[in-house]
Amino acid sequence: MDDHLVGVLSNIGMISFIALSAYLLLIVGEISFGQQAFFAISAYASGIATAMWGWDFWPGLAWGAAVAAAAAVLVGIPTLRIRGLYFSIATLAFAEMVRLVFEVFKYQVEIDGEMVGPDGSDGFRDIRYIFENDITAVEYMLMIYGLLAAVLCAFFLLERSRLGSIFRMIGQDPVLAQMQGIDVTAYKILALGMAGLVAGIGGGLYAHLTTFVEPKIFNVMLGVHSLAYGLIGGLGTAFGPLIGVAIDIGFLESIRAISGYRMIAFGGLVAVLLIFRPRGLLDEAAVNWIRLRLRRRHA
Amino acid sequence: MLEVRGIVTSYGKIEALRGVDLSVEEGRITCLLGPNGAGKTTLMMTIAGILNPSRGSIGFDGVELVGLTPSRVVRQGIALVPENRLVFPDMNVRENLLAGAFLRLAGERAEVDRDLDRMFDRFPRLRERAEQNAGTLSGGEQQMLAVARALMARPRLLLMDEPSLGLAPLMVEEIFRIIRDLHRDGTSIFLVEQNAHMALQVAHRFFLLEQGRVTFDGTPGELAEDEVIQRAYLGSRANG
Repeated sequence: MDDHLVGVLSNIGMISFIALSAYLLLIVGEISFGQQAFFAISAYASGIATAMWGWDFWPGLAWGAAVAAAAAVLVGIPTLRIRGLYFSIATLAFAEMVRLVFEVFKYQVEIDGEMVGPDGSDGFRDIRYIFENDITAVEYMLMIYGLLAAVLCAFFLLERSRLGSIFRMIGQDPVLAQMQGIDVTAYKILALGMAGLVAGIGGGLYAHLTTFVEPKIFNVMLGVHSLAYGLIGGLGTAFGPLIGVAIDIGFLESIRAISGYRMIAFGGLVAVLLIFRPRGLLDEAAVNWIRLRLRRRHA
Repeated sequence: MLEVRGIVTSYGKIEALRGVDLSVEEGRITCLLGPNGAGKTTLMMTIAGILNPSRGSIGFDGVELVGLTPSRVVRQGIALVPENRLVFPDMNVRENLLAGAFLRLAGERAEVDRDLDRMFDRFPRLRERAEQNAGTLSGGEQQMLAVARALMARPRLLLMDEPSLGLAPLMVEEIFRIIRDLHRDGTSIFLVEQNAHMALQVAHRFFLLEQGRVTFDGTPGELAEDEVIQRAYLGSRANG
């Protein structure tokens, strides 16, 4: 397989996690501009675990995702009690705070005569687990997609579950959801924790693919994009955000002839879709229509 | 069954309820009438726990409701059919009904399914539209769905906020027929209405709420219907 293609596909896979993470919050009616914070937290935490503490990859990734989920819950407890715009602003502020903390965060140990670990704004080099263990780019890509498939399965189960309907009820009308006896704040905090976990998986994968993370890549544009993926692809199914990622990373960013115009085209796409399909390409109505079609064909 | 005592609820500095006292008896239809802005919806939202009163108490079979979250109030056995906020528009009719039984779904799924069937029997139109998104229903159908959803919680007390608002006359008749049916089946109902004429026909007891205070408390017939209607639409000041 062509190296460039493997790189692009791996990128699509990793960014899909953060897109799904923002999508989960859109489902419960919250707009977060800060999912990149949880992506970053896990990138650092899992990198520290494998490169500095000598952990294996999978425990390291699980640890990173768990730290990200815990951070998300801690952010959610004070902010989700307030309604509306405040949550969005708080997530944005938190993400910038995380980025600035990583700008000054120094924690290094000596391994084989070399200093390893986060070094403030110079970033965190030598997260070399993948290379030291001879995992090829294609194998790593398959690992990314295996995890993505597992997370997608979890989303589909969620959408069919009681928890999934609770999330949708809260997203459509939180006050009416409260009147049905739902503790809206508790479920929103749960959703944020789950979203942190999903973003964290992506962040851990990212750190080990690039072997190098620096604070500035976790800026607000990553968060805005991950939010936009769900809005472009559609909020009716978890496939929606993946379509958004595929359009942006797979098409606009990766085809060299048009990558210079990426931001223009992407911004225009968001604007057009918000006007004509405010809940994305695969919105609830489209998903219902497809479901009915499939059912009729089977019947 | 429900004892409201000295309830004061404010929006910022404006007191919408200025010390409301009233009571709802078990197995009865109790009606709250009053002009726009009298505080009727505010009172309903306060009972349901969505608004917090600054003073007063609300007892429900001896349990104090003030300070409870809305979900705790629902757990006590009170269901609200809200005004203008009837359904989850992007969920289908069946999902909306199941939403009403949210607290019961975990433990008594079989019974919930039986209740679902019962609701479809009572409201055949909802059965026809079971898979349709609730947002596409007509206003009257949405109102029916909202009532049916509230009943799915098996409430001991049903609060209804202006169920006839904005409905065609035939639909209004239908809604009041449903209210009578529910009462016959033993449901206690606390009803907020603007349609005084219809409300006086079903109510066992009614209260007039004017400018945040209860100004009349009695049975239909104790006050001439003309006067009730005038005060329910315009308030007492219109008299002088």
